This record gives sequence, structure tokens and C-alpha cells, in this order.
Amino acid sequence: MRKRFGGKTALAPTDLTIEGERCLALVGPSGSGKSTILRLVLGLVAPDEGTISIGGEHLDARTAPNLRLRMGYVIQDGGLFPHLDAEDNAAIVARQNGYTEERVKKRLEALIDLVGLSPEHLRRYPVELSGGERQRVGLMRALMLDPPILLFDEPLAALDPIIRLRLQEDLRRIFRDLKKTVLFVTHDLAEAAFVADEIALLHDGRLVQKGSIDDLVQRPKDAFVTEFFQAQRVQLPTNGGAR
Amino acid sequence: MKRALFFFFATAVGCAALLAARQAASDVVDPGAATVTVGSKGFPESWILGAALTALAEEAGASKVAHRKNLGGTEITYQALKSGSIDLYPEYTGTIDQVILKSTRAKSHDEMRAALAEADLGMSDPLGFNDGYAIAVSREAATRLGLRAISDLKSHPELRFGFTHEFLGRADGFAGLSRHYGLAARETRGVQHELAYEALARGQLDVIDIYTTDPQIEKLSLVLLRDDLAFFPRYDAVLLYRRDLERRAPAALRAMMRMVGRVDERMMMRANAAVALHGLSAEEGARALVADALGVQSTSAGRAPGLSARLVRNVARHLELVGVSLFFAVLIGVPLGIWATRSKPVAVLSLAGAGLLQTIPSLALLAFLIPLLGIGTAPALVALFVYGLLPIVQSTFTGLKSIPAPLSEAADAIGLRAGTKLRRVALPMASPAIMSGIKTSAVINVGTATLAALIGAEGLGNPILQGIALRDTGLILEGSVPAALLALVVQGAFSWLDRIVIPEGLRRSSRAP
Repeated sequence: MRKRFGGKTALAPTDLTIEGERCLALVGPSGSGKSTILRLVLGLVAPDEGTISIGGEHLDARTAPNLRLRMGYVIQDGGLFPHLDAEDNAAIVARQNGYTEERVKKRLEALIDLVGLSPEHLRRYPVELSGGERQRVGLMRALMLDPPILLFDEPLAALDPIIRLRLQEDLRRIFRDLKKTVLFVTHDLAEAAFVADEIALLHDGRLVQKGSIDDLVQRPKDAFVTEFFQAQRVQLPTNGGAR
Repeated sequence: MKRALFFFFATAVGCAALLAARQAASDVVDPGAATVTVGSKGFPESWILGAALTALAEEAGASKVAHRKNLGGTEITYQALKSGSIDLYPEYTGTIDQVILKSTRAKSHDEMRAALAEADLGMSDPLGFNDGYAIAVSREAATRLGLRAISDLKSHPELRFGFTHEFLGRADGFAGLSRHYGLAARETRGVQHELAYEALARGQLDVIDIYTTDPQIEKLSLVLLRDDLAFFPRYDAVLLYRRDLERRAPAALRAMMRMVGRVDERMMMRANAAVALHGLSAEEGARALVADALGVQSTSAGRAPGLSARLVRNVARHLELVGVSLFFAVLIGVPLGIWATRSKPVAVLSLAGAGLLQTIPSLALLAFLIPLLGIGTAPALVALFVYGLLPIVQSTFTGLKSIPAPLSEAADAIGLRAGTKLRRVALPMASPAIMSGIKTSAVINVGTATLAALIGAEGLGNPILQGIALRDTGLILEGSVPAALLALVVQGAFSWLDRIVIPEGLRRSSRAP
């Protein structure tokens, strides 16, 4: 799978490719362009220059609606619609696309176990769920159509540390078990190191360095990389994982 | 949302059926034979004459005679005549000359007839009484200050003037009067005619304009100031009619013409007193007038319906006006609000446009609509629709705009099509705002619909306007109490409707801490 970007203000000309069934974390401070990349990939904004292709298919205004169905998208706090209960939130796109109720039900049952919720959560409205539960429902919604690609935009930023830790573990398990191709935006380097196979560090709209956490720690490309690591007090992990 | 959609269509079908039924009902009684519609202006003397003419036309065998009572001022009534909404109404020569023909010098009756013929209108000979303007003061003030003629007012600039809006606006009204008599500029209030009597009686005003056949003159023993410099023209009552009536309903026209030359000031003042002071209906007053003037007992001057029948009818008509106009305001307003969120020019145009329409005074809007739509229900519905539009467009627009940007973007990003997003996400999330806009429209229109009575659309405004004209508190309450209750009922109905339309999740969210 290959993507190329060309942007002007938010994102300097950038080439970025994610291998299939791998998880790439986009890391960087606020305004570094990581969310812009997600919005470009979703076709929510068009690049000023350059092209984006997903699974070999060129992304433009015409192809975006269909390509979006091949990508699951999760944002901070789940991004759930407050007037729909958890089930309707999770199933809204499936129902739009003609899933029978039977098929929706089967899919929901499978996903509930996968994301670690129980059936009674499905009848609750977002306001009646905890932050972690909302995020799990958001994950169900993203996985509903079983898309090959998952996109995460700071999914865990608003959660408290313990719940966050559990979700990180669950996410990593799900990515690997389901063999998804994942683009994971976070400003937390430790989180990126834990869930992702590779890290792309961005700064001021430019891609500074891409590689495994070990690459970045041991062979920082410039002073910013070192500085960013120090700022986050990341201990040197040994093999792409635990703190 | 499905239930909301169902409700919407049920209402649509209901409204359409209601309109169709009314149309059918009004068509059935119209088999092509002579139909005559008599009009009358917004004061008791005109109602009485209108009712008398209606009774005479009915007796002459016209198949359908209607009386559009209480149409308001000259402009509205004359437009109604010209547009064919009414066939005939009692008018006064001074008014025809000054207001309708806008003459710069007094015309003879023959000159007026010739000018009216150009608009295919006819004017009868005088009915026999002069109902002119006069200037009145209280007996106490007249004695104390020695006021006898209008010229005497010049030396008393401290006197407070209160004149009707029509008198203030007419060339033969206050402007001409003060020029003619050289009255110094002073504070002058515009006051509704019947309320002016009240204010004079309470000593809040000193000088008012009156009509020479007003029964209050005797009751309050007012002094009419002599027109010593001969300013006021004569206001001989005549019948103003469409000339096609001569061919369409010759017998009815002949029967109505029997009033010509038969009604003197005394008779008219007596009939006015019966209605304006003693609480008789215009129809009863008309029966007495016809008996007095023609020496015959009229048989068919209709009986006024009883209180409960009037109430039911007025409330039903009122609800119909509000319901139908609101339905169309929702039908147009919500899509317009949606469109406005997608196009800047549409947003500016529709919000500014609806806001501008909102500022047109209702009376002006109604008067403007009469040449286009005639009088009655149609212009009233259009006016109410116009007033109902802004709150709905605005609330739809702001409701949709206030959906948090991340959620709106998430809807696109997860692959919802534009239609699904609008139906399943945007509109339900905006529904509390939209519903409150619709509720505002409904409550405003319950109030505004009372003004529809000014142009013959009936409803609860009818008893209110008649009550003001008659200074009859009971009649005013008969209209205003149900109108106020109706506003409360509408409020209540909306909190019930909210429960159907607004998704439960949003209601739970708003209750959550």
C-alpha cells in the first residue's frame, strides 16, 4: 500500500507509505500535521499537490465515499452521536449500506466480545457510558464493516491512565489478531511505541524520521528527535514495546 | 425519527383534507345563480347598514348573500370591492372624494360617478343622512373655556388632541383642518375611535374627532364645535357597488337600493345606539333600521349565533389559520434552513429576507396582500405564513450549525452519505432547536391570527375587534381569553410533541449532570 501527500500549509511535501497489516503511529506535537494526514487519507480535505492512493486505488472526491467504507475511523472520546444508543451508533453505516438486521445482530455479537463490552451496554446512550466504554463502542463502529484499514485520531487522549493502559493492550491485540493496516495518531510516544510497529515523527508539517522506536532512539536524525524523546521522559525500550 | 416523519405526513394529509373540505363546502352552495357579497367597514354603523343590505338582498331572492363584516379602514374595504371580493358596501361621499378619488377640490356627485365608472363602479344616490367628521369636546370643557366653534381652539394650545389614525392621515382630516383654521402645531395622539370617547370621558383627552351619527354624542353629552370656516365636506352615506351587479343580480341590487333616500340622521343614530350602547347585534340593529326606514318588518335579518356556537366556530377558524400557515412555514422553513447551512448566499438572503418580512407591520402586510389575494382567509394565511417563517428558518440554521464540528466530520469520515447524515444525524441532533423555533412560530401566530379578522378572515380576532368597536369588555374577553388559552394549549402540545420528535438520547443527555 502506498500513499503520497503534498500539502502546503499544514503539511510540507511528504511521502509516506504504510505496509499492509502493519501499524504506523504518527507522533508529534500539536500542529505538527499528524491529524492533517488522517483527514487527507479520509478525503475530508483534498491535497493541494500530490496524490493519495489506498490499496492501489486513487483517492479523489469521486472515489472517497467508497474508499471510506474500507477504513474504520475512531476519534477522541469515540465521536459517538449523542441521540443514538450504542447499538445504533455502531450499526449506522452498516444499516445505511443495506445490512439485514440479522447480519447486523451477528456482527454486533462478535464485536462485543472483541472490544470487551457486554450486551447491556448496547442499549445505553453515550452519556450513560464511561469514557472507556464510549471509546470501545467507537471501536465497534469502526470495525462494523470489517474494513482492512483502521484510522485512529488521538483515541485515548481523554482517558485516565489505568483505563488507557487496558485499552492500549486491547488495541494492540486486536490489530495483530485481525491483521489490520493501522494509522494511529497520538502525541504520546510511549503509547505509539506500545501499539505500533513503526513510528513516523512529525514536526511543523514535516516528516522528521520514520522507523522503529529503536531506530528513533538509537539513531535520531536530528536534535528535535532527541529533544522530543527527552520531553516525554521515555526510557529506552529494547524491542518495540513495553516501557 | 420514523414516528416524526409519520406525524409530519399525517399533519400534511390532515391539512390538505381540511382545505379540500372547506373548498368543497364553499362550492356546493354556489350553483351559478346570483350571489351577492356585501361588505362593511370597521365600525358599527357600517355593520348595521351591511346587515340591512344583506337582509334586503336575501329577501329579493338572491341565492347566496354573504356579509363580510368589519373589514377595517377605507383602503382595505375599497380594495376588496375593486378586486371583487365584495360586490357592494356603504361608503360616504366625502371619503369617496378625498380618499378614493384623491380629489384636490370638492367634486359633485355626478363628477364622482363619472370617475368611479372608469373603475366599473357605481354610486347610488344618498341614503339620506350625513355622517361627517366633526370635532367634539366635553360639555365641561366647552362651558369652562367658552368653546363653540373650531376657531375657538386657536386660543387654547394647551388642549390635548386625540384623533383616529385615519383622520390623521387624510387630506380632509387633521392636516387640512389645522391648515384651514391655522391651528398651531401641538401634541396630537393617534387613538382608536371608540377608545377616544373613553379617553375623553376620563379627561385624558380634550379634543377628538367624531362622526355625526355616533350615539356616544348624546350619551356623553358632547359638544360638537361648529365648522365656522366650512372645512369639512359632506359625508352623505351612499352605496358603492360593482357595476356588473346590475347584470348579475338586478333584483338584489334593486332591493338594496330601496334604502336610498330613506334613512335620516335620527334613525341612524338610534340604530347605532342600539348596537354600540345597548348590546344588540348588528343584525338586530339592522332589522330595527329597516323597519324604521322602510316601514316593513324584515324577516330574514339573520339571528346572531349563541355564545358557545360562536366560541366553537371562532376557535376552529383560529386553529385552522394557525395550523395551515404553520404547516407551510415548516414545509418551506426547514428546507430553507438546511439549504442556508450549505450556501452562504442562501443563508444571507433567507435569514435577512425572513427578518425583513418579519418587520413589516401586520396591518400593512395585510393591506398590501388584498390587491393580490382579495380579502378573507387566503391573505391571512399568507401573512401568518410569512411571520411564521423566520423563527423556523433561523432555528433550523442555528440548530444544524451548532452540531460540534468533530461529530459532523466524523459522520462524513465513517462513510455516511449526505442524505443519511442529514436524516439520521444532523436533523435529529438539531431537533430540539428546530422544535423550539416551530413552537415560537405557533405561539406568535396564535396571537397574530387575531389580526386576520381585520380582513374578514374570522377567528378569535372578530369578537376582539367588535368588542373594541363597541367598548364591550365581554366581547373582547370572548376573543382574548380563548386566544390566551389557545397559546397555552399550543405550548403544552409542543412539550408533548417534543417527546415524540426529539430523540430520547438527547433528552437524557440534557438531564445528565
